[in-house]
Amino acid sequence: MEKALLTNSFAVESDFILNYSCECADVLFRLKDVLESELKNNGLYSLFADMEMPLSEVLFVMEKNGVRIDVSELQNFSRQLAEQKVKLEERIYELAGESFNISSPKQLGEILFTRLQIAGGGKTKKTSTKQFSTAEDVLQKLINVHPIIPLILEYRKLTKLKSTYIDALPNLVNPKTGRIHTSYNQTITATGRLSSNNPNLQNIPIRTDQGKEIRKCFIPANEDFTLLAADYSQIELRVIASLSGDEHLCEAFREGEDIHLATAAKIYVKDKSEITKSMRANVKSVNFGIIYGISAFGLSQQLNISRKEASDLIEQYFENYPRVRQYIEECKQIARERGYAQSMCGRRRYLKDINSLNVNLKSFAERNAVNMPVQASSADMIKLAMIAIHRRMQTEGLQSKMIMQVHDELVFDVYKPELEQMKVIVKEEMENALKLNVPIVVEMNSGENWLVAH
Amino acid sequence: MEKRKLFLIDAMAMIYRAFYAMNKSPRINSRGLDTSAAFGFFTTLLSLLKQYKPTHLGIAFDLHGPTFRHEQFADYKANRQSTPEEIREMEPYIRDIIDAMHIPMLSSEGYEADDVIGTLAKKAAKQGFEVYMVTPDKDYAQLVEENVKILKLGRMGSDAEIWGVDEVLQKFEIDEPKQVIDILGLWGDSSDNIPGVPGVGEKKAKALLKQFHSIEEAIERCDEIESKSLRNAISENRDIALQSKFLATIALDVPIEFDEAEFVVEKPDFESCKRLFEELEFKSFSKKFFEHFGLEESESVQTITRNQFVESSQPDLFSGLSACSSVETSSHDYVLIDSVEEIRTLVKDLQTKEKVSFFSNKVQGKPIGLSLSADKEKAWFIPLWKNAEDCSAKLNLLKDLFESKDITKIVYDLKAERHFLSEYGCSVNGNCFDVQLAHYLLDSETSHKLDFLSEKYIEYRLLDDSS
Repeated sequence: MEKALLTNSFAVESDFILNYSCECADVLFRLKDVLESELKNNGLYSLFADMEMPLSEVLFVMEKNGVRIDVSELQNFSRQLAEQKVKLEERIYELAGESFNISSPKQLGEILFTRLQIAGGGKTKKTSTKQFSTAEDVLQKLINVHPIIPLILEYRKLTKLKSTYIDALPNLVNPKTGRIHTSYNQTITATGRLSSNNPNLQNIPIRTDQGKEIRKCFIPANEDFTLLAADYSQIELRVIASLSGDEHLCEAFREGEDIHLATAAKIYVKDKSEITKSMRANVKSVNFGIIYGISAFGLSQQLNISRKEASDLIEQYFENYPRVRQYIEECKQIARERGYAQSMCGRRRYLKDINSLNVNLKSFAERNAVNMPVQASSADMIKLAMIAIHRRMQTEGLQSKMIMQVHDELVFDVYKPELEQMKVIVKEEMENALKLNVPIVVEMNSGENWLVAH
Repeated sequence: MEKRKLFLIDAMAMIYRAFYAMNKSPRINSRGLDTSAAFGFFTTLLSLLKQYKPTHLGIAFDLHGPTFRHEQFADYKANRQSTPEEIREMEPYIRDIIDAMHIPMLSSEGYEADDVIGTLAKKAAKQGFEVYMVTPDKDYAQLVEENVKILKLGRMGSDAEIWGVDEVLQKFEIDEPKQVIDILGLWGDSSDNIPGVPGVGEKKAKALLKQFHSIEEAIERCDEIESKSLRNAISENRDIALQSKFLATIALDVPIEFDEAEFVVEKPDFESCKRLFEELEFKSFSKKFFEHFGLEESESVQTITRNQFVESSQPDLFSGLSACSSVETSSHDYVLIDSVEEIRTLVKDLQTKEKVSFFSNKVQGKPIGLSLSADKEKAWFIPLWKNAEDCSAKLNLLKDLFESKDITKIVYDLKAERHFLSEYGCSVNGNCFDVQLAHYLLDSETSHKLDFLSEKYIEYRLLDDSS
C-alpha cells in the first residue's frame, strides 16, 4: 500500500486507505474491552494501569528530552582510534608478511590458516560458504597460539567501537535540538526490562577504557546543568536474597557487607582479610551465575578452572545459602505447574518448554524460571522508581530532566541549583520503589559528564 | 439421489500441517501441554465438514512398521526426521477423538496411508461415490479420475484447491494421470525419499515424458535423447529410475474393504468428545463442534482462563472458508471527512463519548491521515496528506478531543502517537489504553502486531497492506 500511495494519485487509492485506516481505529476500539478483561482475568491489570501506562508517558518525555553529547570530543576520539588502528594494521601486516583487508573474513581466513598455517587444532571451522571461520569464538580459542590473533581481536574491537559509537553518535544528533534522542522500547524484552536504540545504550562497553571514553562524551545541557547518575547496587543479588529468604545471604546485605567477600569467606572458610583478589573474583562469578542458572561446566569455562573445582564452588555456595537452592527448585516447580514465571509485581513470562522432553529446551526454560523473576523484579523496581521520580519532579516544578535509563541506572540532566533537591528525590524514590527483605542501596554521583557521574 | 461424497484424509499430513502452521503461536493448555497439533487438526476437520458436507468420511494413518517399499529399498525415508514430541504426545488424543466421532481409522500392515486411501478411493468410485482425497502430497495425483479428486489444503488463510483430471494433466504436463508415477520416478521427491534420476528435475522430467510415454520407453529408446548428458543420466540410472517409479506408485491392492456403512458421517459420542475437549481445554472450539452436530452443551459458564480465552478467539487459519470476518463480510460505516465543518461536527459528537480510539497513518514519515472510532464498526477518516498547513489545521481542530481529560483514548503505541501529535502542538490527556502495551503484558513473546491481535481476539482480518 505504501508504494501505491507514493506513486498513484491519492484520489484513486482513497477508498482503500479509507477502509484500511478506519479498520484500524475500529479494531482498536473493539480490542480495548477484550484486552482489558484479559488483563483483569490474569491479574495483570494493575501492572498495566499503574506501571506500564504511566511509564509510557515518562519514556515519551525522556525521548523528547534527549541528551547532549560532546561532538568535538568524539571527533578527537575518532582520530585517536584511527591512529591506533593504523598502528595495529602495521603490526598485523608485519606479522602476516603482507598487507590485506583485515576486515574481510575471507582474506583474514586465508592469511591465518593458509599463509600462516595457524592450526585450529586440526579442525578449522568452515562457514557455510566454505570459507575459514574467523568468528570471535574461533579466534579467542587461538589467542595464545600466535601473536597476530590478539592484535586482530583488538583491531576488531576498535573498529566496532568506532563505527557503532564514535562515528555514529554525531550522526544521531537532531539538528533542531542539538541533542541525541535515544528511543526506548517498552514492548520487546521477555523480562520486562527496557531496551534502547539509536543508540543502543545497553551495548556501550562499561569496563573498558574505550567505553569510558564514550561515556565521557555524554554531557549536561549547558554550564548551568550537571549530570546526576544513580545506580542500584547489586540489585539482582538483593532480589534473589529477598525472594529466597535465605537468612545468611540477607544478613550479609543487612550488615552492609561486601557480598562477594562475605560469600568468599564462607565458601573458602577463611577470614575476610585472607581472601585474595582471585578468590573474590571467582565467588563473584558464582554469585551472579546462580541467578542465571549456571552449570558447573559453564562456570569452569568462565573461570578457567576445572569442572570439579567449579562444581565444588557451587556446592559450597548452596551449603552456605541453603534456602537459595530450595528457592531455585521452587521456581522451577511453580513454572511447571503454572506454565509461566512471575515477577514481584506479577509480570509473566510463559515457559512452554518447561515440561519438554527435549533436555536442551527444558533446561533453558528452567533457567528462565529462576532468572526471570529476578530480572523482571529488578525491572519492576526501576520502572516504579522512574514513575515516582518523574511525578515528584513535576509536582515540585523542577527544571531538571530525566534523560537516560540503562541497566540498573538512571541519569538526569540537573539544573545546578536543584542538585541537592534532586539527590534527595532520586535516592528516596529509588530506595522505596519496591520493598525487599534486604536494604536497597543506591549509588549516586554527579559531574560534568557521564563518566564522572557514574 | 443426492450424490454420495466420500472424504479420505491423510492423517499425518494434516497433523503436520496444522502443527507447523501454529508454530508461531502454539496452543498450550494450563498444564503446559502443547495441544496445537490436535487443535489445528480438528479445526481443519470441522471446517471441512462444514464447507464440503461429505456424506462419508475415513481417516488413514501410517503404521510405524516397515512397508513394502522398505523391503525393496532399504534407504526409503531414511533421512526423515523423527516425529516432533508435541505431535507424538497429541496422537493418542487425536485418535481418541476421531474414535469418539465414529470415524473409521484406516491402516494396513506393510502399507502407507497413501496406499490405503488409494485402494479405498478406487473401490468407492466403482460404487458410485464422488471421492476426495484430502492431502498435500502430489503423488496422489496418479489416482485422479473422473470421480476421484484431490483436495489440497492451502496455506493459512488461503483457499483449498481441488484437483480433478484436468488440473493434474495441466500441472504435470502429461496425457493421463497414470504418468504421474513416471514424472516422479524421473524427478524424484525429496520429502518422500524417492531418489529420481540424478540431474533430472521437474523440467527435464516433463520434457522426457512428452517425448516418451513412460520411463520404460525412455530407457528402451534412450538413444533418441538428444542431450548427451541426459542420455547418460538415463542409461546409467535405469535401476534407480525404475525403482523410483515403483516407490512412487501407490498400491491399489491393499487388503482393506470399503464397507460403506462404516464410513457414514454420524453424530459423535457427546460424552467422550466433551471429556477430551475439556482435557485439552478447547472450550470454544468444543462449542462450535457441538453446534455443528446439533448437540446441546449445557454447561454453566466458568471463569475464563488465559488459554481458554485465547483459544476462543483463535482464528480459523486452516480452511479456505475462514471464520474471520473482514471489511468485505462485515457491516461497517466508514466515512471520509475533509472539511472544517465536518471535523467540527465530529469533534462535538465525540466530546460526548466516554472513549475514543484513534490511529495515525504515516508513510515514510509523512502523515497520510488519522482515523477515529467511538463505536463498533463505525469510524471516520481524515486525510492529512495534502500539505503541512492543512494537516496542522485539521489536527488542531481535534486538539480539544486529544487533550480532554474526560475521554479515554484507545491507541496503538501511545508513545509514537504522542510524538506525532506533539509536532502539531497537541498532547494526549485523559485515561489512555495502549493496545500494544496491553498485549505485551499478556504475552511478551508473541507478536503484538495489530493484524495479529485483530484475528486472535476479535476474529477480524484486517486488509492486507502489502497489496
